[in-house]
Amino acid sequence: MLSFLWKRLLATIPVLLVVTAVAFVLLRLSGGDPAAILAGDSGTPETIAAIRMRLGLDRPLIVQFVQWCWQLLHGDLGNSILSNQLVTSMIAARVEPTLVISLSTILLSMLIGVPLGVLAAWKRGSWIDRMTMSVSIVGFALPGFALGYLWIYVFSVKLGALPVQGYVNLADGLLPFLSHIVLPTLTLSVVQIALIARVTRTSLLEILSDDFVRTARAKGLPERIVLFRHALKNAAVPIASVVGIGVAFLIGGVIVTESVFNLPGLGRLTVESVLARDYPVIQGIIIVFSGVYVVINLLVDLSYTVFDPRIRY
Amino acid sequence: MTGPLLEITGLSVRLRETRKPVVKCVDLSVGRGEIVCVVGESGSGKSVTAFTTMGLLPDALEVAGGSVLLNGEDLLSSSAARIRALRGRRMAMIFQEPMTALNPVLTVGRQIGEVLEWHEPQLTKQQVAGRVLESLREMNLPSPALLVDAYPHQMSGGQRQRVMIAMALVLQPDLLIADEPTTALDVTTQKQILVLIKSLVKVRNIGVLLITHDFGVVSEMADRVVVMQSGAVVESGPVAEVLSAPRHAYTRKLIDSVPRGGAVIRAPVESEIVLEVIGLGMTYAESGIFSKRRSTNALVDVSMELRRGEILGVVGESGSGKSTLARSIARLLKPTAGSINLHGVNIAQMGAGALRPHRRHVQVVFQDPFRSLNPRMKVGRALIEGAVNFGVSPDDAAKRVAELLAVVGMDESAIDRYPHEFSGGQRQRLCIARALASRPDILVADEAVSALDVSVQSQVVTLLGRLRDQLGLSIIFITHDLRLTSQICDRLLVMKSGEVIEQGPTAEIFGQPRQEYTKMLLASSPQFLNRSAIS
Repeated sequence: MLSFLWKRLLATIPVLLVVTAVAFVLLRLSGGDPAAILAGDSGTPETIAAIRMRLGLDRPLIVQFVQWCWQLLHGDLGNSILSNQLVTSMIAARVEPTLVISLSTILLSMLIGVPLGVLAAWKRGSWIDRMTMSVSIVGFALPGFALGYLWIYVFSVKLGALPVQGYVNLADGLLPFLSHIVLPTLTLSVVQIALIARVTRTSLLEILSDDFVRTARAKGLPERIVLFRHALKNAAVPIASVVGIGVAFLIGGVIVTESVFNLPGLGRLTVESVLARDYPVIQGIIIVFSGVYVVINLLVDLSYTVFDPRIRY
Repeated sequence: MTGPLLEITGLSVRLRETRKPVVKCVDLSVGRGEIVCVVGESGSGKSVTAFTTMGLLPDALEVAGGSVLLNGEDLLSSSAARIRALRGRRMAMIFQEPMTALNPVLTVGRQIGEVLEWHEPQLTKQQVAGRVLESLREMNLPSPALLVDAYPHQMSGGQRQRVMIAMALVLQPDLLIADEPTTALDVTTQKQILVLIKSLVKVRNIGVLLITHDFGVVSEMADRVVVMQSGAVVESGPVAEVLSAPRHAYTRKLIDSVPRGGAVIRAPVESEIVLEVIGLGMTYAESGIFSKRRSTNALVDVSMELRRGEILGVVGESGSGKSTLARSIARLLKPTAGSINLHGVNIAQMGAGALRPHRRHVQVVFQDPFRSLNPRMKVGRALIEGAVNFGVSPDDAAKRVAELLAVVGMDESAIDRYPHEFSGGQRQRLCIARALASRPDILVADEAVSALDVSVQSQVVTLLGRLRDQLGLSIIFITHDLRLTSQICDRLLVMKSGEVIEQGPTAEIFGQPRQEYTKMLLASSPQFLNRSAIS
């Protein structure tokens, strides 16, 4: 177990290295010059060149990369080109809204997706099954920003029940806090619910035809215990893996959703930094996101041992 | 109490959509302290009858008529909630495959405990734990206190079935329905489970409805027998009567297909040696519950030889290493020691490339014909695939398919059909035809008939005997059922814990077994006329 954990943590290092290298190269090949943006409309070629030199952007790519990796090893993500702030503190300042809506999304989508999938599998072929499955197709197909604007139109503009955009700290009151995260969470959750409900249904359907489900019924257990204790625990491994994979969707969704709802989170920061070609900030965010993804999927793998005693690391 | 415990009258069950009858007007009854065996081949409706009683019919089936009374209470007109209350409390069921019938992710204690928790909510946690322990102890399970926290995969097949029985009987139900409870078990384990069930009937005065396809089991267990064919009861009566004077032709056929004890005496085969195994060893690393990690010697210094046109029976319980031996000879496994001389060439440690030309000489037929044929490949293609792979031109191979099908007694029309269109016995014939396609010298039949009905088993065994005589084929016949070897095997090899403990001509081993273990295997096989062994 411990050796597994150790090996997996070691294995994340090359993953992170590849991710950063790819991000580093792609960013610089994608065109746009931070120095030109910094110099503004009145910048002369000379000032731009001077800025480039100050930022070290005139040096060969490989040198820049090695230098950046060296800083990274010391926990230093560098400074923003635009504001000269520490990237670490910029990320720290913006992490809360992203963390909040991500967690609420994962929570909500499991709370809705799993029971929905169980229901659909249990009542296979019924209207509830067909409805769940068709709605989930729509959920997959709808782009996040369209959904976001739809919620805003219905709940904020027409009904006036919820704020249009922005973020309020939990310290400033529970109700305002909740009212600001409801719509972003809903927006992000739709695709996750669709994903989780589908996988839950499929994996449960397979389990429901297993012999031990028949045994559970032969023991006179009520259907809810058969479904939730006997079947669902056996179906949990694929569901857990899809939750892990869903985090990747979530990261992509967060960037769009935060822009729609104007949340001051990492997603917004990403968009701002990309527009300004603020390389160190973008790279920092990518490192953080991919680190989170890797760690969450490690936790998912560990959760398998809880669900299935036959799995041992 | 007057009247039988379970009384089924005129029960009919049909497919919901096509209304095709599956069970037709079945009458049977089970009294207290009585074991009633329902016998029939797969598809005879015996399991459906049992599932109807438990209220566990699959959605595709519906009851079309009749009544099922338990202690005089009509189960068919009872509410779902009432049936649920009766299940576990008044009637319980155990199944064929205890590995899949137990939930793999819940502990044994939890699975037994929840029956008590649900049906008797007034019990405290300690009382539940106490009764779980007691129920395991009653089934003669070793160290019940440890087993409570064990998972099914950490136990042996026999232990699992004991756990199933403990779970079924924990609430002291009146009726136990046992659906082929020993079919998936070794003969020795089968014997123990049957003895256990029989003693429980005596001690607790319960009624047992025992479903089986094996008249050997019937003769050991039943007080009364009900014979079913294609959904209908064709004969019923006290066991002695049905066994000694079967009235229906189908009953006679089932009884005749049970392999008898004594072995046929055969002239020793003196042709050339095609396969010689010397000092074969195989060591695995594995983990169990009682120990952390250990290495298991699946094969220890196994030596044997096989002559042309000889059938060598390899018998032993599961875990005795017989399948490992088969897989090593076919080189599906790489043994860790020893040599396997095939036509004088040692193939034991050959790499994949060097092995290829030798592969066609040894072909394997596996246990489960439902899973060893590709469901999406037509039979014709499946049969020639191997041969084409070994360099036969597809045209020649196609011509050979018809020939092969004839050899295994199948019609040529099978070529364009898919595996699911055939019965288990037919599929196993197809698997044999597939194995023969590359003209092997040696056929390894690894429990090749264990998954089949008794009547079908004897047909396939006869086929193997014919292939030896006609094609001069050498066959390694692996089985846990000694009875099957008596008819066709020239020699026997008895294995235990990875070692060969006895070998010799079949008639000799049946007549004068030297080892205690062999004697026990022989005594455990359900046969006729040894009812005294149990009661």
